[in-house]
Amino acid sequence: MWTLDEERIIGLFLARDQKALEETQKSCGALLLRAALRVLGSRADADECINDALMILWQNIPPAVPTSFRAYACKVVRNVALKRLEHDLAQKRSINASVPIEELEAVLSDERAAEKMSDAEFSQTLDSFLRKLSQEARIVFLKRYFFFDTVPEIARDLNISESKVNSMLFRARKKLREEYEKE
Amino acid sequence: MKIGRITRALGEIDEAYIQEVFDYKKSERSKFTMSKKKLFSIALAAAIAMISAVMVAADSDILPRIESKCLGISHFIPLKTEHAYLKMTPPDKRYTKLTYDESGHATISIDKDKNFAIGNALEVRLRNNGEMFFFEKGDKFKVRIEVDLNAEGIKHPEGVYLEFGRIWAVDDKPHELKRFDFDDDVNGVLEFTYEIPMTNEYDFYIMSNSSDFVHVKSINIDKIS
Repeated sequence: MWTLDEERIIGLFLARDQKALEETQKSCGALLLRAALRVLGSRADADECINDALMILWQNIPPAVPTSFRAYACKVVRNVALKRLEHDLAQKRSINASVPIEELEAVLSDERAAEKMSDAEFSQTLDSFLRKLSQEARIVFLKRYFFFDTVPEIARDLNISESKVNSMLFRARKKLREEYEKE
Repeated sequence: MKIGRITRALGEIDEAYIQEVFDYKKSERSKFTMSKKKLFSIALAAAIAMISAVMVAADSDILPRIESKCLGISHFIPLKTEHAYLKMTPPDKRYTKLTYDESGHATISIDKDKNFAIGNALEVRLRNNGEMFFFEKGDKFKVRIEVDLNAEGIKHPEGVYLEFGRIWAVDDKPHELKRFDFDDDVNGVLEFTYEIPMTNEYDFYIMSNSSDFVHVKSINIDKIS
């Protein structure tokens, strides 16, 4: 369900009014910048990434009409940033992202098994895993591996200890591995 | 460093999951913490503590019972699902759920040929909505265990001891078991303070020497700080 702000912005996109991009920046610019900085570590790269993401939003909406504009925009920025990270081998400047990425990918200890899965199966397994987590565990997981928040940041945001965050992430990765091994 | 498949796949998840992160407001987080603190301000840690174990001979007609009292029931906040259960190993390896009524009393009856005393190990597990509790480093518990040293089945009353420790959630094993001997204690009562050394999720673990069955009269575990 859209907020009034999101409804207005989506309206501008659908009407092909270029003010949509300016309004997107005003409404969720800080959020998108944080998402890009987490991955890329450099302000200049992050700004460029957001520009590219805004272009993608403009090209995609319509026909896409996201149910949650902020969430959709975050996904686009994250994906653009990750492509940029990989392309430029910019991991030295993105300390925030490299550790969680390595943590998460270590879950697939047998990469050959995962390679046999189609993209749809792979995504379905991930979705099944996320649905089974408790709300708090899911939020901790996504803050770490989608948003690339650090453990101290997650602990502070959720008012829980860092040990608890680490424990929850450990257990979640274990459950994720079990989901993929089942397939 | 390679951007792996899971990282990429996370970029395609349903936006509802991402929106959930945005919507998880601070007020809800502090409410969660507050209810945890409230929970611990009462004797909930002793919720399954007082157990009267009845040891029944094989040919007895009396149905054995384990009774447990939730101390501090006037402040007890009912949890939504199971919140306490006992596991005795051996001979009975199954979990026995204790369900508390409003007066704070729970009783379960078990087949008469089961031995309710601590033969080898008793695991004390507290749950909140199925989730374990986190204990913070420095949390202290006052533990009181009363055993009947004159009960049938104890061959060497002077050699009876108990070990008390915690089961760590990460590996599900007991750690840092402390041994308490009953040699000098004619009353069969042990009292001590137990301090959590590291913040994490734990259950409690109590074990007697394996050569004897110990008739446990009561166990109290109270969180004191």
